[in-house]
Amino acid sequence: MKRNLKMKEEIQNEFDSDENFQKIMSRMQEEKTSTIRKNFKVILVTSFILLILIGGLFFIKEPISQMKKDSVEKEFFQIYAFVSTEENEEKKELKENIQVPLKRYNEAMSSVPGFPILFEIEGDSSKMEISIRNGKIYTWNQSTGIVTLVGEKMIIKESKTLYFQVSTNTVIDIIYRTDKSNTKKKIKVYQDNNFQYFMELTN
Amino acid sequence: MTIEESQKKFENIYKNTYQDILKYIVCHSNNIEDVNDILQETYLEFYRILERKTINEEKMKAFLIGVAKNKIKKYYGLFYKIKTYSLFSKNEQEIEWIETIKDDFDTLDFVINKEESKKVWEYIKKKKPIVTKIFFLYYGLELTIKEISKELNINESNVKNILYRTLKELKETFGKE
Repeated sequence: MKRNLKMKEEIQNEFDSDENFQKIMSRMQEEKTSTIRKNFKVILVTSFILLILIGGLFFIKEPISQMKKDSVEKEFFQIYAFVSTEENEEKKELKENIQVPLKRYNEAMSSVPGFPILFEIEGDSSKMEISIRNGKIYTWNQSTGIVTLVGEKMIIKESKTLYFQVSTNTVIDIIYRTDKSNTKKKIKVYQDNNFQYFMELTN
Repeated sequence: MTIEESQKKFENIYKNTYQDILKYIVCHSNNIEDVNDILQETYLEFYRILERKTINEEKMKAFLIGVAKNKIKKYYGLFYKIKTYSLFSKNEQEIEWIETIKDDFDTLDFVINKEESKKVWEYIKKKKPIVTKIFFLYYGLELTIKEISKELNINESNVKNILYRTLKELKETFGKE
């Protein structure tokens, strides 16, 4: 068969087997590199997202634990005595080692059964045991006027004002109990030379 | 199988099947310029499959043709359908001449160096796909008219017509007087 060999060569060059093979190998390599890069990117992005999620959870956890802490700290108490002001009386928080002058009450003239102390307690499962040495505890219903002698010990589970008949060596022991802890305090009662009574909170 | 072994196996299969796959792709593509791309895609896909599963060696060629067929379909999308058609009206005087042409007649005697063959081939590539295919099969793969007609699914007289007309055109364009 007589054919032009130059033409055959030219056509076969166009579709050179070796050249195509090289291109196939090179594309295969590119594909593998690209797959590795793609996988790497996927891993990177996934890690980044996970990091953000974990970081986010951490930040959410912090406020939650803070809230929990707050809620734990919400189980707290404050004790107020009543002091005189120019206009009226006001309650003043008893703080450790601070003497608070108490409002004077004339037992004969006043219907108040004793020195009022307001015990404010927070927390659903908290309670306070109050006991008195050298004194007495009263409750007073101001609307009915009924005064009730409690005695030397009382347990309260919510905020309450109690009234105390005191002397110069009266000590009021307080135990604030929650599920997790017990806090003990004392209220010491003083009287100065002017017959002014003071209360001081101590450990 | 290690990567080297699998590459070696692929290379062997490639060498053994290259001509047949090239022929198939040329015959079934719409444009000769797409052939190399489709060819590379076909073998790339084949290599990926080879990495995943074992193929019966006897069915390797048929398998590759299947892959090539799919690649061509994908390449041309909705427009994939190659139709055979008549390119030109018959010249009464030439019909007799065509019938007397022998199958192995070659009028490209004016193409004697690389530069000329390159010009001719570039010229042929711009012609209609059927012309390029016939030229490729006749000169590139040295098939007979009968074989070409079978590959392209057109009758022999059409192949002769196209070839003769093209060669005549080439001689008028590039040949020495």
